[in-house]
Amino acid sequence: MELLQAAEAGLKKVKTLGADQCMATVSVTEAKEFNIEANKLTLLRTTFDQSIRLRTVLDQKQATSSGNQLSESAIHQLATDSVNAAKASPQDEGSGFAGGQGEKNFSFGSTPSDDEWMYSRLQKLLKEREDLFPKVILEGSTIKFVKTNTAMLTSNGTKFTSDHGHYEGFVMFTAKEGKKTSSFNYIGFNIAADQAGKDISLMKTANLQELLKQSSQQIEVKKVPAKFVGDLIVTPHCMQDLTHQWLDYLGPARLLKKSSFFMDKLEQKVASSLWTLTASPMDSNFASRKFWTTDGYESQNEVIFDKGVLKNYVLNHFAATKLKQKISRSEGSYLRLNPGNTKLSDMISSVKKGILLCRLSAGMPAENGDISGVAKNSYYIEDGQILFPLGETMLATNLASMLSEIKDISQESVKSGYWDFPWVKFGGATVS
Amino acid sequence: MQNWKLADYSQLLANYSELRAQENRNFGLNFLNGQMIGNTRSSEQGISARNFVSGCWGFASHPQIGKSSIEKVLKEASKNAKFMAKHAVINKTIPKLTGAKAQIDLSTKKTEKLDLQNIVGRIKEYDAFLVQKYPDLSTRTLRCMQQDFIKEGINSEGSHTYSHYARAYLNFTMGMDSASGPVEVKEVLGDKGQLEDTFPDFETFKRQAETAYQHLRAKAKGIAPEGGIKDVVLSSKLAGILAHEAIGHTTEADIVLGGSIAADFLGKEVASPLVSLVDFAHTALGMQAPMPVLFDDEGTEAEDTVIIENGVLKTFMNNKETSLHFAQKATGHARAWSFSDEPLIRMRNTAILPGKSKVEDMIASIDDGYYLYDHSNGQADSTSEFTFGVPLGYEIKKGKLGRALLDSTISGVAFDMLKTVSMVSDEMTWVSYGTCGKKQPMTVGMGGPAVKCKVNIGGK
Repeated sequence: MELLQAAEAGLKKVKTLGADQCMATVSVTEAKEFNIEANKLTLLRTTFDQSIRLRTVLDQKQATSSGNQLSESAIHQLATDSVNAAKASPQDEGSGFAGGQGEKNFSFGSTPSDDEWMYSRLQKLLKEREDLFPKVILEGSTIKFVKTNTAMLTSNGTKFTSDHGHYEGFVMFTAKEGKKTSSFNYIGFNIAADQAGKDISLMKTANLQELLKQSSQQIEVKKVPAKFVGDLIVTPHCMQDLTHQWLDYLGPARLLKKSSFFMDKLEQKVASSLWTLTASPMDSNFASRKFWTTDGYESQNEVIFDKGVLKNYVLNHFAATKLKQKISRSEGSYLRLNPGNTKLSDMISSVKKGILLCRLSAGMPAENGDISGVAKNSYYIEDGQILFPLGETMLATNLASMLSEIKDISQESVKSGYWDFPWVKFGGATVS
Repeated sequence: MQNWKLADYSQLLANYSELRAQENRNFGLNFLNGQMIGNTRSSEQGISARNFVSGCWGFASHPQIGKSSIEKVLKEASKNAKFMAKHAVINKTIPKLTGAKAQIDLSTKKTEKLDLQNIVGRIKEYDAFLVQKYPDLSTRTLRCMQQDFIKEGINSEGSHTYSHYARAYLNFTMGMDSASGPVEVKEVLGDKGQLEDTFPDFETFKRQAETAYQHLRAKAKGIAPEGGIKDVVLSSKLAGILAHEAIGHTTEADIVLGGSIAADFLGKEVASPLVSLVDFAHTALGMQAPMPVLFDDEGTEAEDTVIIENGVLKTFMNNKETSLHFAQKATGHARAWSFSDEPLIRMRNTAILPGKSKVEDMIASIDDGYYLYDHSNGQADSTSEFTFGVPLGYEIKKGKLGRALLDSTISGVAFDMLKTVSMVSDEMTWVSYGTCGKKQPMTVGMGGPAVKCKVNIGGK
């Protein structure tokens, strides 16, 4: 069954069964993926898949059912399941999704996969690794082309279709020399489909070369000389991970629980004036797109923090309705933190005692924002000098107070194709 | 019972090949402070083929299970393997093993099914109990989930397997305001099987809620631990994640090939002689394991893997290909999450074996340290350095339990830390609700006794 035809069949059946509102999303995806294990190309995967998701709202009760079979009988069964599940749910005024968004076709990267190009990029990466960083082992690494066609219809008058393709990479690595081993590290990146065929170096993508160099150095590590309270210079890769922790406190679960430290802080200054964070799913500088939200709103770029002032929560339709707040049109995706005016080298020079934090392996943060974890792939800084790679080093801080402890942000930044972050210097971390 | 009749296609399997039909089903309900914030169910199914040519693999999958799609994935997998073999000359072989012929079905045998209305009604009843009994709670969440994994597989060496794995849980959290901000504790009730078998009765729920509430009250007056290397007793509830993260991942053969430090410790002492660690296949200490695996997705019959015996590292966990590389036995570790995933080396039921000490004596033996009671997330490293979150614990002062701890994190280098193990308790606790992440998610069981050792704890 064709995409639109399947979505229409789902919508029609749910409505026939008595739904007040319904949304049908149908996708077909094809992916080609090359895999590297222990510095060798070992596997090529081709995956075909399809999916259908039916969301039903009935008498302020809602449910979602999804499957991957598009036959008429499978769609009818799924629609029946969705309606029955909604009927068994409790009533809630937050139930629902986007009103009519009109009719729109979206397209980005609608080209076929270039397998030979992907293969040649990986071969080049493996050769460069061998020449430049012979101690480094690439493991569990992939590059793939993902092409997805989607149709989304709602009973409220939305008809969106999209055709989207992009290349996606994940490189994981460890350095080993004799019996000594570094911590593993990894990066993810997206490459726009129209870049296929070009002489792109994966080694130069998303700062990979620097991270492989660091891994080679991290075979030998030392502990910090003594416990101290000092600065963290957090690298772009680590910053984008850490920023998702802050977004969690801006999201539905913690705000509905009223346990977030951002509760009732909209339009208030909660961070240093250096801190401007945007979520930009439709930004032309990124290598892929997100055309609409899970609740059926057309995506928009949003400012989350502007010069330290909290401008937007990241709430879905349900939570926004319950909390009487604005619905997020970005869902906190495709993050960009504005760069600052200071050179990274000057930021490092200004540290009396601290850590260049390249990866944080942390436990789940506490409700109050306390977070602790091991500084991985990181370096000890003293009197403005990076002295040595760290091992067995624990740090503890608090996510809420970190934002007011921002001391500087670098001019330089790293782009991964789906995020864009500079280096950020924070004070007040306990290191042991 | 599903029957995709894959045996009808066995004559189409060329070279070394596998064919797998699979359906995954998920069901979830999520309540926050009495409001339902999630009500989802999903099902995905399909067929996949994997083909091995001259040391390279080709894989393909399709969401329809039928003659034309089976022919299509076999052809595409073969084409992919040949593409790789043409470009990358590896020239490895794969060991020829007798294919498993077995089946396992963990779906409920009860004839009376729990319908959605019944489940929602019980959750609302349990939530109302929390509101009435504990009025000082600021937040309550109740989450109910069930996962089913149904697979039929054949390979070119004659294996033919069928499995229906299922697991179902009710987990709840209770939150309270405190001087240090909001605090929370969690509890998980459930096991392998479907909700008809595992959904807790009201009395069980009430008992567990009372225990959780007492921990929460203590945590509301809790303190941040003092950071640094400390003497601790890790509770039996926490030992499983130690086995899984600290040792398990480090000894997966693909991770070993990727640079894991374990490569250099085979046959050497890596832990105290008190420590033995096994990845059980399907039966552990006379009982069915929490995630029983009779065979893997390469069609290999599953056997227990003794990883550490009395402190000495004995073997890695292998798939067929790495078993040849390391000259070790393939014992059924190659498992895939979805029909569209290739099998990877995964743990099954990883546990530290119980010892002879009593937990009370272990606590009494510590002058200044911590009793760490529960865990949240965890992570391993190629250096064997592990990290996991500790949302609940108590200080130990002069051999007695003291104040509760606020959320923290512990870490250590496993091959050093396990040498500090000085007491191992005689009890055993299994958990199976977590999901291990390694390219794909995976269901695993983890277990162990309480362990006295030294770890690095994050704190002020």
